[in-house]
Amino acid sequence: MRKWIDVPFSINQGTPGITLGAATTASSGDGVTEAKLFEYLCPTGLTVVILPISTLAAYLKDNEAAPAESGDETPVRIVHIDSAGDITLNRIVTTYAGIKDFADQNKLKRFKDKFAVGEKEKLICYVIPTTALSVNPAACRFEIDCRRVSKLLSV
Amino acid sequence: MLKKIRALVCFLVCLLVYLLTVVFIPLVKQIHQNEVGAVNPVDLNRLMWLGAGAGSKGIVGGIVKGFLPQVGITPDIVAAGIGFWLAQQGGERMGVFGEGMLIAAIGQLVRQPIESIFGQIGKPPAPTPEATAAAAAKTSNQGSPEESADAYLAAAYGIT
Repeated sequence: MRKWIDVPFSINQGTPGITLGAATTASSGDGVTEAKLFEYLCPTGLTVVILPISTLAAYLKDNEAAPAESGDETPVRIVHIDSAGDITLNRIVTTYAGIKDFADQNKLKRFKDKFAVGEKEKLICYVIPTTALSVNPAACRFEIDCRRVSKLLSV
Repeated sequence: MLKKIRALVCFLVCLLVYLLTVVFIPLVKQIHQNEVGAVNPVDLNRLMWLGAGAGSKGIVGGIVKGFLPQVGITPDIVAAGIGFWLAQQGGERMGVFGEGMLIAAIGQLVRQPIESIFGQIGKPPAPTPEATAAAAAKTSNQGSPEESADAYLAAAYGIT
């Protein structure tokens, strides 16, 4: 009989499977073009479970000569892409103001739906740098609190 | 409903009395006489007509039930009634034929309640809803929660 390991899980900049996006050029933002903040590729044998109690928090920093925190109005969205790369679903569409709190349970941004990110599926976070500004993913911080389900080793 | 049950019970009691007085006791007497006299241990003629009546029970009940489905009574009741009526007419052939039909019909009628009583003995207890759900999940194409991640997610979080 196979059992499952079902434990809390955090997707952040140090999680295996995370690829940070490239920093955009200083002052290159036009308020329309999206820049990739991170891409999470779910590995084989693992299923990430996002529930309505799962939270998203981020700290965004630009790539200007004097780096500063991004503006509250910076649009942020998280998309879920299937393993074939054919289907894309928006999971969160918000602004930076809604996700900048990491600690206050009353302010943490929560997902609306429950869904599973299966093997080889992706979660990608996009931001739209404000006009004449940029984003530097390497200097950003983010965290998705969720759960992970994986197979139990048999002995 | 209660009146129907009461009428049915009365009917069955009457049949039992009838069978005891008309069929069983004379049969015992005859057997006793045969044992004493050792002349004819088995009345093959009577046995044949009894068998024919029993065999015709389904045919007669089915015909009547088929012609009058709106009456709403079971073929066994119909066959028992007809068998009772035939047996009342008497005679070495049709009377015995009716007796056979009546015996077969009553036997069929009492079979179900007897089965329901004695059929419970030795049966495992009824499965709980959780066990039923687990069994259903196990027989589905998705597999059981223990074996399939999709089934586990469906069971644990309702994610399908």
